[in-house]
Amino acid sequence: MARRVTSLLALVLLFGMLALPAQAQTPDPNQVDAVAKDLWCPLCNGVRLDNCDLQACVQMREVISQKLAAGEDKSQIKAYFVQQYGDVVLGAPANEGFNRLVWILPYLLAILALAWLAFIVRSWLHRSTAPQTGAAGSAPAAAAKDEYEQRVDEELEQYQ
Amino acid sequence: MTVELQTEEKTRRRLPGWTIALGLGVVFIAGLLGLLLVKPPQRSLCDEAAPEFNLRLFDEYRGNLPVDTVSLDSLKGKGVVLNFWASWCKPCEEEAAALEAAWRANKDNGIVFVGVDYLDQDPAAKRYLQKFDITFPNGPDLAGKISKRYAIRGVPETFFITPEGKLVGCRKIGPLSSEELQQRIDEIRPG
Repeated sequence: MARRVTSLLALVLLFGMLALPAQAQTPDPNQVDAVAKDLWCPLCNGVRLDNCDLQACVQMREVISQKLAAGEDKSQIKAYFVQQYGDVVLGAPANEGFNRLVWILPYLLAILALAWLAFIVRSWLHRSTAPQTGAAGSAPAAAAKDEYEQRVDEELEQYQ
Repeated sequence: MTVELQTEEKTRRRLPGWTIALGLGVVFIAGLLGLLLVKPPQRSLCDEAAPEFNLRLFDEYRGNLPVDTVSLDSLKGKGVVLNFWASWCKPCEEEAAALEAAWRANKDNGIVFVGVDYLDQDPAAKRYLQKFDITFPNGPDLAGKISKRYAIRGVPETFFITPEGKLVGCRKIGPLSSEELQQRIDEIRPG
């Protein structure tokens, strides 16, 4: 009797050990969501995969689960979905090739806006200081002004 | 004296080179942003040359084609029924049986059916094909390249292409009935 019980226990233990790796390989919903939150529903506008209940999204999460169980990491799974659906599944254009322009343009625009602002301020400052520098630095202009003032003085004297 | 003043004024009015470059840069960026905002009109694709495509077929779903990848060019001389579908699409299920029946009835008469699986997952797509006992050539539209070329509005959508590679009529949006399918197939049958 004792031998039978021991054999039975050994069998249970053996099956338990065989079942253990299979259980460990099955990813839990949190692991699936950790990948799904980096992906976007390709059929909807602005809906993240972990928040999407469409059948297509359920199928995508199913594939994530299978791939995690097969030992693939997040970047491999993302690369697979990009191959299947294109960049749309990342929610943003990939930072490569012509698409890089989308990432560079905002910075370029900011630099151009700053340069434009600097130009406006510079020209405004230049305009406000222009009469002073013109009087001091330009000899013909100063002479012309002297001549004009002299004529004004002469004409004023005539009326006095 | 007047000439001197005018020259000075002209010098002040002339813009420095970097200002012009800056202006051109702003115009260029505004143009690009405008292109992003303005959507090009969708192609109607009626009675015109069918866009070329290359479709990698599912291993078990090559129909009677002895190739891994099928292109429109390789099907010249045959009438082509190009059907866009997806496993998550309920209306696609309505036409699945009619498509398969029409394929079986016409495959030896110079007609080829090509199924393009749109934004789908291989396991679910194969389950769908198995469920409806589909046997005609089918493959996934990787990165949506073919659906972009054909500017599809959704699924199901079907195009009928003559043996010369020309679209007959416009696209059929929505599920096809057996009668409509047979009528459209007659229009593309090789002479």
